Amino acid sequence: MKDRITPENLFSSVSQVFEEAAFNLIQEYEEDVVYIPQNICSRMDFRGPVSGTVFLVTSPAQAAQLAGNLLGLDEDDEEVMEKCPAAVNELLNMVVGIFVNQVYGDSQSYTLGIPSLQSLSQKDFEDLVKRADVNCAFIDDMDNVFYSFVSS
Amino acid sequence: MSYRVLVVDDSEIVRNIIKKAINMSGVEIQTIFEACNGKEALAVLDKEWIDIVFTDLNMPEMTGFELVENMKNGDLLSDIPVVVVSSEQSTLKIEELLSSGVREYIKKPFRPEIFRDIFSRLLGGKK
Repeated sequence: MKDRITPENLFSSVSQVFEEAAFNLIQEYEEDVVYIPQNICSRMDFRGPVSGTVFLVTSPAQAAQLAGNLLGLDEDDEEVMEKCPAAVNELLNMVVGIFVNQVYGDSQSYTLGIPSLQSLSQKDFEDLVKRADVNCAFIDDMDNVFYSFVSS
Repeated sequence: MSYRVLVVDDSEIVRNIIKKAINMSGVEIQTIFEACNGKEALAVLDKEWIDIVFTDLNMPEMTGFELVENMKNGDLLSDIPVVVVSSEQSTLKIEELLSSGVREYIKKPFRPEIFRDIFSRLLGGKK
């Protein structure tokens, strides 16, 4: 089951959610992983036959675009600025729902945690990159680079 | 035919997304009430006439599953259709919810059209 924690499964989960929920088309980004200063990092645990944590790390600018698209409002709207962190949490919640189903299959019992936010220092970010089982880097159609990691 | 809807989720952004999808679905809506968890939802149901409930599962204080159990035990509430909106995708979990009294299950991410279909299936011709 742990062999299903793959970059391909993570990429397809993230791209499905970003496209369907936030109308954001993304591709794999093949350059080196680079720390995003003032990042918004959402993390969410899953517990089952294999357990772990999924992370989504974006910039505040991208989070504003995502929140605007989720809510159908302009990204400069005051409400959007206020709700950026919650939008990243909700996108990760959807990503984990799809990803975990790919890992466990359709008939396993499992528990999902509640997404929570943090801001990663450069050291935290580099530690996460080193210890993660899966690292995915993405670029969206507005040239925002962002990351998702799975640690199990 | 205009409906009174209750949306239950601990995330304000998710309540906003669901309300937006319902408003975009083309269904005539009179009022959309909101609650942050099952306990608040029961308080709304106690005071207001509600035609349909859309609820999350994992919420603090009272989960969506506990809300459904409480509604089943209330004479006036047991006929109100409950639809779960969740990111959980497991067929096992969905079957368990449907056998516990949940009428429909919407997987996130969703499209607004799914709400129109659900209103039509569960409430078509009711009013």
